[in-house]
Parts: sequence; C-alpha cells; structure tokens
Amino acid sequence: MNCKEYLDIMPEKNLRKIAEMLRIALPGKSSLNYIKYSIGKVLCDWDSINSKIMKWLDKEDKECLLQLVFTSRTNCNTLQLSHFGLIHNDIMPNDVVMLLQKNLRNEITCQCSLPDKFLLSALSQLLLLLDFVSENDKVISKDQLLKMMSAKYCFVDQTLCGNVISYLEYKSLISYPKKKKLKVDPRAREKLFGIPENAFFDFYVWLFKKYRLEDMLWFVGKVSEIQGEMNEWVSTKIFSDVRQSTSLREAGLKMGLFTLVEKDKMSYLRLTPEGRFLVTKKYPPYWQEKRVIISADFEVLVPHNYDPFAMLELFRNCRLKEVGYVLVFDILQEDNVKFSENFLDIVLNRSLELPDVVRFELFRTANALPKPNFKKPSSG
Amino acid sequence: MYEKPLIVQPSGNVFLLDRLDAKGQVAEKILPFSDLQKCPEGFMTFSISPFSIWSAAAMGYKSQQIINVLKQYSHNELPTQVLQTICKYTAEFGTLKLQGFDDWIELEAVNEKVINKIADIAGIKDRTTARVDTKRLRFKTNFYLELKTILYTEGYFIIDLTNRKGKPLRFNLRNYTRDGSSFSIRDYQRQAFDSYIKYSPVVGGGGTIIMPPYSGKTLVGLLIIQDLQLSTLILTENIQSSERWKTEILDKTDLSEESISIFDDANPNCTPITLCTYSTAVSSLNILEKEEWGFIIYDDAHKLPAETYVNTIMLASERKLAMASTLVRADKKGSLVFALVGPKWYEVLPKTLERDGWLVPILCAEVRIPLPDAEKDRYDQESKPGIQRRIAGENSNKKIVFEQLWKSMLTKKVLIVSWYRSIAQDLSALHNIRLITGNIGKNKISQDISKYNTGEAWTLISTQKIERIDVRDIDILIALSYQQSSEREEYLRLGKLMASSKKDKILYFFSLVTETTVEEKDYRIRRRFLINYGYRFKIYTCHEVCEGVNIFEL
Repeated sequence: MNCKEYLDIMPEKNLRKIAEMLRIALPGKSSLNYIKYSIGKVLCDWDSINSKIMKWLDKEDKECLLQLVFTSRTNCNTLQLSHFGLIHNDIMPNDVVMLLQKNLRNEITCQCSLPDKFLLSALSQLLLLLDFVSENDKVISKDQLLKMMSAKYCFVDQTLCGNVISYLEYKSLISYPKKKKLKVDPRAREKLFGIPENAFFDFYVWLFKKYRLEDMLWFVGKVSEIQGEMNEWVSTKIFSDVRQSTSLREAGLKMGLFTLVEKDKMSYLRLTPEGRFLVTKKYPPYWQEKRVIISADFEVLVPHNYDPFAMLELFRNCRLKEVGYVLVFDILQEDNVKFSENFLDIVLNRSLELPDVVRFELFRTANALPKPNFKKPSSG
Repeated sequence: MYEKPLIVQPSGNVFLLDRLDAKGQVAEKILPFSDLQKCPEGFMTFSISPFSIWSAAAMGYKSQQIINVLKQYSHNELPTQVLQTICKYTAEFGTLKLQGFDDWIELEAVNEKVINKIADIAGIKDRTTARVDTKRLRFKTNFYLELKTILYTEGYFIIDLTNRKGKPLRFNLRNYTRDGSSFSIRDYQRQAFDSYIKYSPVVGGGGTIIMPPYSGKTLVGLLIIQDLQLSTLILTENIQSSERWKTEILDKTDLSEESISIFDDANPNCTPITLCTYSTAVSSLNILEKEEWGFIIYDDAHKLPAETYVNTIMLASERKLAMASTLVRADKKGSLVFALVGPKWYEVLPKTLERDGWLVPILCAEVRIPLPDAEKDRYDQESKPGIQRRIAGENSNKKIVFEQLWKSMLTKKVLIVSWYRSIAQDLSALHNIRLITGNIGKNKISQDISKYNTGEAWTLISTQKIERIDVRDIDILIALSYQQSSEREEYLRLGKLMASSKKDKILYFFSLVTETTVEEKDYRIRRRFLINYGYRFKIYTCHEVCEGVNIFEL
C-alpha cells in the first residue's frame, strides 16, 4: 500500500502522536485530513525524513530501518520507528520504502575496486571433478576420491566436493561395482550437461536443498537487487536478522556465489557473475567480455569465474593442466581431434587475440581452410 | 578486459600478457625474483619459486619490495601461497652455509630446528659422518654433489663456501680485435658482468647469467675472467663451441695462443685458460680436478643437469659461472643449475634486446605443402618412419612452392638448407645455385662461402650441418627438409639469421613442410621450441603461396 492508503487506516490517536514526533505545527482545529496530509508530506520527502527522523534515530533503530527497507526481514524493535510513523502493524508504505531504498543505498553499499579473488565456484568444482574422473577411470572409495581431488587441487573444499559426488549419485551417474567402492560414469559430463543451463540451475537448487538453505535464492536475489555495478559491495549488516544469515553467507561464499570484503570494520558482499546469473538468468556482462587468452604455444587461459558454459567447452576440447585464478588448458594437437563449433566460436570471439599458428591448426582441423590448387611451374 | 598485465597463480606461475606490456618493462621488473619459462606470442610464463625468491634476497630484495611489484601489476589478488613463499624464503637467505675442509664438508644452520630437520631427511641421515654440534653436520667431501641436490630438492638453499682454490692469471682485454676492428661492451653485457661480480661473493662465489643466443655471452665471460684474474676452465657443449671461445679469446685479449688450450683425449693438457667439452670433462675428471681452478664457466649450462654431465660440478674452483640462453629442459631439471652453480644474477629477454636494437627481428613462416598423389601413395604404403621422413622431406611439390618464393627474393641474400640431399641437388641444378654438401672439397666450400659472404653470390644451398658453414648477413633462410624433430638444428638454423649484422631490417625464416606427414609432426616440435623463445610464426598453405600471397607481410 502507498503512503496515503497507509495513513488512511491509521487511528487518529497514532496520527496525532506521529505529528508531534515529527514536530508538525498543527493549528488548533486541524482536520484529520490535514494531519494525514502533513505527515504524508514528511514521509514522502527525503529531506524532511532526514531532518525530522533520521537525525533522531539511534544506531540500533537505524540498522533496524535498513533491514526493514532492504530485506523486510527483521526481529528488531520497531517501536521508535513506529513513533515516527515509518511502520505500523509491521507494515511500511511501499512508496516510502522505495524512497528510503533510494536514499539509504549509500549506507549499506560501498564502492571498492579490489584485485579479483580466486574462489572456485561449486559448479567449477563439479566440472573439475568430472574432468578428474574422466582422466582417472578407477573404482575407488568416496574418501579416496576426495583425497585425490584435494591432493591435486589443494583449494577444493572437501565437504562441498563430497556433496558434488552426492549430486552425481542423485543423478544416477555413480555405480558401486564393489562394496563401498564407486565408479563415476565416464560419460557423466556429457550426460549431465546435455542442456548446460538446465544443469546449472538443477545443480544449485539441489545443492541448496542438500545444505538445507531454502532461503539461498532469496538471499542471493536480495544482494542482486541492491548491488548495482560490478564494483559495488553490499553490507552484511542488513542481513543480520535474517534466519540462517551466517550459514547462507558462509555457504554462498564457499559455493562461489559471492565474495566478501572487510572495509572499515564492516563486511560487504558482492555477487560473482555466477551468483548473478543464478538469480537473474541473464548472462552477466563479464561473461560476454573477451577474456580468453591464447598463446602461440597452444595454451589457453580463462579466468576461474568466467562463463561456465564456455569453460565446459574448454573441458571438452582441451586438456586442463593448472587451476588458479585462471584455468590453464592445452589445446589438443593430435591428428584425430575434432573441435566442436562452440569451442571454435569461443576461440574466435571470446579471445583477446588469436596467434596465427593456432588459428591455422584449429581451422584446418575444422576443414575451413582452402584446398590447394597447384599451377605447375615453368620449366628451368 | 584485463586492467593489469600479470596473473599470479597459487602454483607460483606468473602470466604476463603481451598486450599490456608491449615494451617489456613489467617483464624486466619481475625477472629479478622469477624465472622466465617461455615467451610465446600471447603471454609469457614466469615462475616464482622458493629459490628464485631466495636468490632475489641474495641480491638485497626485501619481501615487501617483491610483494609491492607484484601488487602493482597483478590483475588478481596475490595468492596466499605465493605471499608465504616470498616471506619465508627472503627470511631464510643466509641461514644455511656449507664449509669445505681438507677431507670433509660441514653444513651449518643458524637455527637448530632446521639442522634437525635436515638431519632427518632420507638420503642425508645415513650419510652424515658426524653431528659436530647442535647446528652443524659433517659429511665426506664426495657427498658434495648429492648433498647440494638433496638440499635444493627439499627447499633448503645454501651459501656454498667450499670453493677455495685458484691460481692467478694475468691478462687484459684489448681495445681492438686482432684484425684492428674496434669493439665495445654493450650496456646489458656490462650489467650482466656487474651483477655477477657484485652478487656472487654473497653466496660463496657462484652464479648464473641468462642471455639470448647471439647476445654476446662470451664477451661477458671474458670480462669476468679479466676481473677475477684467475685460471679458468670453460666447459662447452661441443668442440665447435670450444673453438669459438678460443677464437674469441685470442681475438679480444692479449693472451698468447699457448695460454689457451682445448683439452681433449689427444691433448690432455691444462693451460691458464682451458676449454673442454662436458663429455671430455666427465671422462677426465681425475686429471682436471688436480688443477687449481680459480674460475669455471659452465657454458650452455642447460646441459649441466644431465646425468652424464652433472659430475663436472665436483670440480673445485674459487668462482663458478653458469651461462645459458635458457635453462628449460624436457626433464624439468633446468633449475638444478641454480642449486649446483649459483643463483641467477642476470637475465635479459630477447624482446628487450630487440627493442634496444641489439637483436634483429626475425619473422618466421611455415608453408604447408601436400604430397603429390603418387608420392602420397608411396608414403601411405610405407611403414618405416625413416623412409616416410625421406618421402616427406623430398616432396616434389616443395620445388613448386620454392619457385614461387624464389621469384620474390631476387634482391635478397638467401641461404637454403636441407637435411636431404636430392631435393637440394634438384634445386641447385634447376636454378643454378651453388651447392655445399659433404662430398665437396673443403677448398671449394670455402670459396663458395667466401663468395657468398662478400656478396659475389647471393644464394647458397647447403646440406651440411649448419654450424659447419660460416655464412654471414643472410636476409632469408629457407629450410627444405629436416633432421627429424631436432630443436637444436632448428635453433642453429635460426641462429644463422640472428648472427646477422644487418640490425636495421627484418629477416625472414621460411620452412617448407609436408602436410599430414611425420614431417609436419616433427616440425611442430621444432616450431614450438622457437615460439617459446619468442619468435612469431605464421603458417601458409601452399595454395596461398602459389596464389601469390605476400609472405613478407607476416
């Protein structure tokens, strides 16, 4: 409801108290409509709110207001806010909320241009695991598989990786040829990522359920609503009263859905491109940028947080050899390699530069180079 | 896009994006604390290792200085592992020393805990002859090589104070070569010399200098010998290399010919400056170790870690220097040179020398040529790789492509090289080009080379090993066939161009390669080697060449 509707249903006694709190001068016989009009004028004007309300709120009330405005989930005491007419019976007028959101964004966000952190998303860990099992086709226990994974990639989170294995189990891509010894379907990657985007959402939704974090999508969505541009960070304080807020934050960080920064003794969150894609279902601009780097030594560098669907093509067409801020792949140069069209598209359109030797070899394989047509030389 | 040129990986690998460091300034800034692995078009790969950090600390670098450089240029947040390595190994510099005595060597640590850990290492535990005190371990002298290798592998880096011998040697560099031409020391050669002289005493007298081929390493070696004034042993890869050193020493110093010898089985004599191949040195260690060497140069030092050559490190001398164009080895043992001889005190990149006008830009192109049908049938029916290689090498279509190239090269000095003789003979006959083969007498060869070098002849074909023909100032080199995947042959062929004195122009290196054959696979390996040195390649189809594409617009 908007402010007018909100004030219309408020009892006269409350309205008069609010007018008093807002220091609205009322002539002796002011009508109820005039009181509502005067209060509405204050509540719908940021300068008036600032001078007549914000100045008089203590720190706790301010934080309570921020939580109400940005998450609408709080357990804090709203008594003081109700005295100023900002809330009544747990309801805040929509137009006032929007006005406050617009003007209080600076209180809960910060601009911070930091070097990119290396944080491997859950989906990337799934891709790594699938790549690992395709190269290590063994019947082993889950513990052994986890140990091998963490020996190869020291940054892999064991719990998360364990759940990734459980996901494969859930998708019937794991068999148990021996007691307590598993074998991952060597074609698991192709079976799972038949329709890559569906696989993406299915995996994360399953993972949130597994972690019993039903509010994760809501949580990520809220950060997404508030966070504007890439370099904007959202204060965690607005989520402090949200149920499971710490778990949501920790899990989201581990899954690579957002990153965290500490600034002026405050914690701020920022969505990763993957986190943003999860809630908006739109390709983040970052994934559309030319970020793939190819050398004449047939090495490909791709940032760990780049488009996972492009990454999937690299896994399919190249050999992974190093994982870090960038994943490093070798383009296969064997005679019988057939590169997929998607891969060639990435190489052509997402790479900063394409050395000629690589262009020649890749597109020769794709039979895109012209056939020879000899003219015999003149004699002597 | 990427705003900064470096990407630092947790493994210590550092990628430097070409496009954000066009002048190579960032590369120069990170070289003192990292090792260049390769520099293909696109991005360079450096590696930050515990030893590269320890070496930087030996040059006086503090951890914060290194971190600041990386932070300034890194696109991503520096990984914790890399930060830990930087802090740990800058702090560890100087905490372990190896002392030499008459019959034993002693390892001394500043910290008792460190010596306890070392004492427990398998391979060291049972070779310790005495625990001298809480901070010192004693070993037999003959354990020296193994001890250094084990300590390096386990991440313990030592200041080696065991080198104590050295006879004096008096000589001077001349201002003019023997034929009267002047020569000068280039800035980067002076820097290499200064770095070695300044820093090698800090770690006991050893060190490594890395400079591209044809950048004048020998002259740097001579400057150091002149400064040290100590009897010197120079170990080389082969006899040709020893001969080149000897010529250069005689040309640029006032030493007499009697003061310099090439040590071999027929002439096992040591002189104030002795040149010897690694293989001869290994078989004659007992003779060489009786000499009191003041200075040993390990030339082409990437050869040193080879099992057959590594024992040459047992030769004692007051100072040691490893010189190389690269330490990259297929067995990844290249960095062992640092452990055995000493840290890298100086490295300069080919790109830097090209930028400063000291090296000539060379553009490389490969032309892919199919076999004619009949030859293809013969190739497909053949199972022996040797014969397949010959069929591919002698691909008659190469002559067609050569003709096309030939037309556009009439005003250039061209050298044509071939591993197989028949194709060389055919082209020689077809175009009336002088041919050098193993069957031709030395005098005739000398005459032909002389005519080429003086400009009387503009073209030459050779099937001789490239190092055996002293041709100069080539504009274009065309390779017709190959000794399998020999990276060395490829490197030496390119080297003939690099040696050119024509610093103001671009030179060209063309390779004719038979497609979808073993030759293509072989050439891929050779090409990769040059690409990783920083050379840019372009591949053409024979169709493109025959249609008249301008191959000089690479």
